[in-house]
Amino acid sequence: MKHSPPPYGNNRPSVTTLQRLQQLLDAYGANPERWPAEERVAALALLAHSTEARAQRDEAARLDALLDLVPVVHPSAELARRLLAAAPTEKTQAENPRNRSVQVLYFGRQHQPSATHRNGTRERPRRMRIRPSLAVAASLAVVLWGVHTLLPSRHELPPEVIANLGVYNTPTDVLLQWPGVDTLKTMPSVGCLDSTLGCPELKVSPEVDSQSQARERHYV
Amino acid sequence: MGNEPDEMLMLRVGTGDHEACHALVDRHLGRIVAFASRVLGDRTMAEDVAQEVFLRLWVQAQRWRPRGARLTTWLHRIALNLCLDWLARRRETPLDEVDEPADPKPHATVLLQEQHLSHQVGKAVDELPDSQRIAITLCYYQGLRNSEAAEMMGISVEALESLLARGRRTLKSRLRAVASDLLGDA
Repeated sequence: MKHSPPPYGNNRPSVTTLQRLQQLLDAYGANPERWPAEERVAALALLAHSTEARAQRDEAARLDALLDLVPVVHPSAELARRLLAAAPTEKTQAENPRNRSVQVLYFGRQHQPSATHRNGTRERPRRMRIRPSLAVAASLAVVLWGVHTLLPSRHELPPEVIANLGVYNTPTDVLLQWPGVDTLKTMPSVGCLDSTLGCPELKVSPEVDSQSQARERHYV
Repeated sequence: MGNEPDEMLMLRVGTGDHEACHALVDRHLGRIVAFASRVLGDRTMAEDVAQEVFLRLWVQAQRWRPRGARLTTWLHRIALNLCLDWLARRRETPLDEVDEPADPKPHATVLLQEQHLSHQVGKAVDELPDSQRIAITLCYYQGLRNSEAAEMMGISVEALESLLARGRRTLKSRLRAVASDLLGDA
C-alpha cells in the first residue's frame, strides 16, 4: 500500500515534549478531539508513556468538566418553524433568473454576504441604497405597460377592414385646386319645405352644378 | 438523509427541496443558536442572529459553492460577524451599570448545587473579554478546527492558542472560589 505524504510536509510539529503537551492542554483542554489533528497522534503517544503527562491531562480535564456545565441554549420551535416557512421552494427556485436579479438588487452583489472573514472593516449589504432604484424601475415598467395597453396601436386594424374603407376616385391635385365642396348639395335643409303649409318652394335648377362635380365626372 | 453531507444538502436546498432545508435546520440551528448565545449572553439576540444566518443561507443556496470551506464554518463566520455587530452596538450604547438582581430565594434549598455551579460557570464565561470568549466558544464549545477559528477571527493559530490559554486560565482562577473541590487545587 502506498503511503501518502503527511499534510504538513516536512514541518511536522513535535508534540514529544511535555511543554508542548501542556500548551495543547492549556489551549484546547483534555479532549484529544479538540487538539490539532497533526499533533494528536504524537500527543497521545506521549500520554501513553508518561505519568507526568497524564497528570497534566487530568488537571485540564477538571476544568473541562466545569466548562461543560454551561447550560446549552436550544432554539425555540417557533424559530425553526419561521425558518422553514421562509425556506426556498421548488417554485421559487424555478424562477431562478428573476430571483437572481432581485437578489443582486437586494444585496448589491452576487457572493456570500458578510461571509468573508472579518479584517477590521467589513462591507455591509447595500439594501437601502439599492431599494429606491428597484422601486423606480417597477414604476417605469407599470407606466410602459399602461401606455402599451391603453393606447390604440397603428397596426390594430386588420387588412380587410383597411381595404373596405373606401376608394378615392378624385386625384389629390384636383382636391387641392378647388374647395371641393358643392355648396348647393351639401347645404343642410333648414326650416319648412312643405308648400301646403305656406313654406316657399325651393327650386333647384338642373343646370346649376358645381364646377367640382363637373371635374369629378371628367376624371371618373 | 441523516448522514448526507452538508454539501449535498445544500445542492438540494438550491433546487427548493424542503426536506433538505429541514435537515439543515435540524443539524445546524441548535449549534448556531448556542454559539450566538455564548458569545452574546442573550437568548433573544442569539435567535435573531441565527434567523439572519439561515435567511442568508436560503438566499445564497443556489449560488453556494464550497470553495474549500465547510458549511459549518461558513455559518459560524456569518454568525460571528453578526454577533460582533451586536457587541459593537452594545458598546456604543452602554447600559447603566445595573446591579445583579437579587436572587428572590437566596436561601432556598430547592436550588441544586449543580444548577448554581452551572450559573456561576456561565457567568464566568460571559465575563471573559470578547476575544477570549469567542475563541473558547469557537474551539471548545463549537468544536471548530483551530485554523478555521483563527481565520474567522483574522488572527494566527499561535495568537488563537494564546487567547485560548489566557481564557482558560482566567476561568480557572475565577471558578476556584466556587469549585475548588472540583478543580482539585484548593
